[in-house]
Amino acid sequence: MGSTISASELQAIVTGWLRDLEKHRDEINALNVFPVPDGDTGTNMYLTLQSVANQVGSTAEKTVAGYSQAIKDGSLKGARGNSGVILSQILRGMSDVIIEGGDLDSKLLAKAITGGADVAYEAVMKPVEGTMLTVIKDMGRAARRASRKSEDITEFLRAVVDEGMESLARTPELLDTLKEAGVVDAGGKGLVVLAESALATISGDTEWVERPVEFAVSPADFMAGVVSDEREIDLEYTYCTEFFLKGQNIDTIEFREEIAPLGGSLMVVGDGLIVKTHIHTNDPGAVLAAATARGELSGLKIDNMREQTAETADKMITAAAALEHKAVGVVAIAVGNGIKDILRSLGVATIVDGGQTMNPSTEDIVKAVEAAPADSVIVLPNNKNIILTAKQAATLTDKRVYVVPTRSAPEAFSALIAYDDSKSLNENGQAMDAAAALVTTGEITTASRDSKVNKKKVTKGDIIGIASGSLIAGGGTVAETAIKLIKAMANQDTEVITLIKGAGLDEAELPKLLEKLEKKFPLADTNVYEGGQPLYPLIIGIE
Amino acid sequence: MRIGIVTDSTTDRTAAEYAERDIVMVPLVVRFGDEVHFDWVDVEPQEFYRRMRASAVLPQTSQPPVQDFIDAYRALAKDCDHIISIHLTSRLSGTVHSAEAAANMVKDEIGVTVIDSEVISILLWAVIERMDEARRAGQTLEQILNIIEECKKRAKLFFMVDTMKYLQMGGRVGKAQAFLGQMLNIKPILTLTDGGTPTPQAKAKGTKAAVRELVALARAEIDSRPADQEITLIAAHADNPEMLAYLEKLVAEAGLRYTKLITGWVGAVVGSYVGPGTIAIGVL
Repeated sequence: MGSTISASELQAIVTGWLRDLEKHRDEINALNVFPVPDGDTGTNMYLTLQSVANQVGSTAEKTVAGYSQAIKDGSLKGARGNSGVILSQILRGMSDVIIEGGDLDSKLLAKAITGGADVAYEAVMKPVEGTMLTVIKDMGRAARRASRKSEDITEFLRAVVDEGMESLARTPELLDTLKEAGVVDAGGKGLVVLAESALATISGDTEWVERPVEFAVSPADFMAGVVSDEREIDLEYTYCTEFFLKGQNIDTIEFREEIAPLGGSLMVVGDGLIVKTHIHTNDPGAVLAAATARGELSGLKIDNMREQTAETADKMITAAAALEHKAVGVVAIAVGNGIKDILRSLGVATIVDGGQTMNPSTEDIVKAVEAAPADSVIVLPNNKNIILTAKQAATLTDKRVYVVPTRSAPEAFSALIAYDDSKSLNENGQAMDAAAALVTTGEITTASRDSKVNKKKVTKGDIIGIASGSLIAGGGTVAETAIKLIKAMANQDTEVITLIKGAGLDEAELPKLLEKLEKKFPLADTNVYEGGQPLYPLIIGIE
Repeated sequence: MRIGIVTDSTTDRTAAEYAERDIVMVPLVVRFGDEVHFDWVDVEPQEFYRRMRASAVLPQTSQPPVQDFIDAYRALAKDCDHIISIHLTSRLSGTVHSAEAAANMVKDEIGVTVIDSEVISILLWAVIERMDEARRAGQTLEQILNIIEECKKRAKLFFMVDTMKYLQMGGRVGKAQAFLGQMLNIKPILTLTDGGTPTPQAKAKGTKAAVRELVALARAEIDSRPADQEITLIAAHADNPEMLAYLEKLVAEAGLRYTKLITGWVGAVVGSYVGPGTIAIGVL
């Protein structure tokens, strides 16, 4: 067992960090309590480390000190969001201690972790306990204790990881927002992942046991709480502003004091030559003016957090709806990323890949039904060739299954609008049957062989329009074929025309098509969606 | 007994109409960043929506300051024996609380009855018209208050929003389920329940379908009323004149029974709550 960390081991630790943080990125993102003004913690920490790894990879000085300098430089350049900036400060504090020290043994590492915690506390104007700051501070304390007990670096790291886990588990006790949400701190979780990763790299034991974070309440409940009327989303500041300030002898303390009255969540970090600034403000202009008086700006990023909040809230609701265990869930078979996204946004829990050219097996559907977080399951086959497979799958599982025989995505969308998971399986099935039956589907695709439409010859490769199993139109452009097809399918009572865009559609054809439809069917709402399906430039639903 | 009536700018009516009926209006405040405007006083709806659509910063609203109500009450105290101060639903704004605080501060000078109308926009105005007519007919304070209670029971508002975003960001809606389907062009239709809380009522697959649904909801409401009941129908739009015209056309074609129809713009404050594109129909 070694008592020091070598240069190549340090490099391996950084590589491991990036790999392990990527693995835990979504899990950490899911821990965000607020409608995250700064975006996702896991993603921010990951991107910060990516910059660290790049710098370490490109440094010429392949020593412990050289790598440490690279870790410091890379993290400061790449830091994103609150969590990334705090992480960069921790790494900067650690690196400074290591660069000054000799052999990287447990004593020096303990000093480095403590140094990292100190620098991070200084960088934040109002340190909040129960965050990653607390976790790094506690790890530093455990590190000092452990370094006195043993010289073995693996044992030392294990003690640091254990304390990190415990400290992380205590974060909800320190921070009410975490407690209300029933989660631990996301940034703290990220730090623990990094500590565990370093331990795994040094001990060679890469199969370390995952200890997943438990949600004290269901993700759906806490995410729903975020937008409930009890908790008004009220952001004091609109813009998240971030930039580097480069110059000579920049007085960071003076600069911080000058811009502090302009906003909140302020962080000004760096040395006299390069300063990273992060602030939430209503007046980015005044912040930038103060900055440009002192040096040159680079890496400027200004985000409107109100927009982010609305988007994130949407994303959270969708994610939460999919995770939540329901009495009645939905499994859908689909192809095309756009179609899948819409299905998920309508509450579909599990999606099986499959469509015209790749019909899923009975077993694929059975597996999805069994994996769906629901007691009973509605299946939407979305293709006439898959309906029977779905019905057979229904007989091969212990779960109660209702197959709504949808033959297309527009039918599925219509069925899902009628879906209500507070109702029984049969009530849902019948309501969804009825809703799907209102939809007629047309498809635009390419002829796979020579044929005839209305006595006109269609050659293999021509654009054709199909509805209810018959060839209706063919031989023109996608838009020309679509308009013929829709005229054949729709009438003056048509209320909704749904167009799902797929591969092979020329976007330039769309505006004219929409104009013609508006003229021909003035009462109808025409809705265009990104479907992303192959082979069918347009799938058309008429209601 | 002379009764004064005070309301706020969320009736979405103009200065001329307040003057004609002798109603005092206290405006809510709408802000674009540091720029402060008074609803319906120095911010016209059309210009407001143009800016709202163009601006990255969302407008923020706030209830009138207590002092504004105190000033309004004191000004009326000279000519009136009692004031009824009626405002938009407390589920959407704290205006009623500002008014209550002010009423309490002037109670030695003038009696003020503060009322949470539980509705908003032109539907609130329709209630005020009934109050004013009763006042002109010489009815007593108690009779007028009874009329208001009756109106609160009857008033039904249905509205379609283009997106739930604005209600959601303002924390003005309840259930999360209402947001499913945001990727589709599904137009949520809401109503006010439980004292004026926006609550999802239906979903329509597109704007025109939503307008048809609004007319159907109003029709069902009217059909449930006694045949001899006086009915005020209101319709309002937040920068969506085409759809308001479509709604009016459908109302005419459907032959909806009403005594009076009031239509118009949704102003800056109410527009900030619900967002541009909103169409509302209300039955009193």
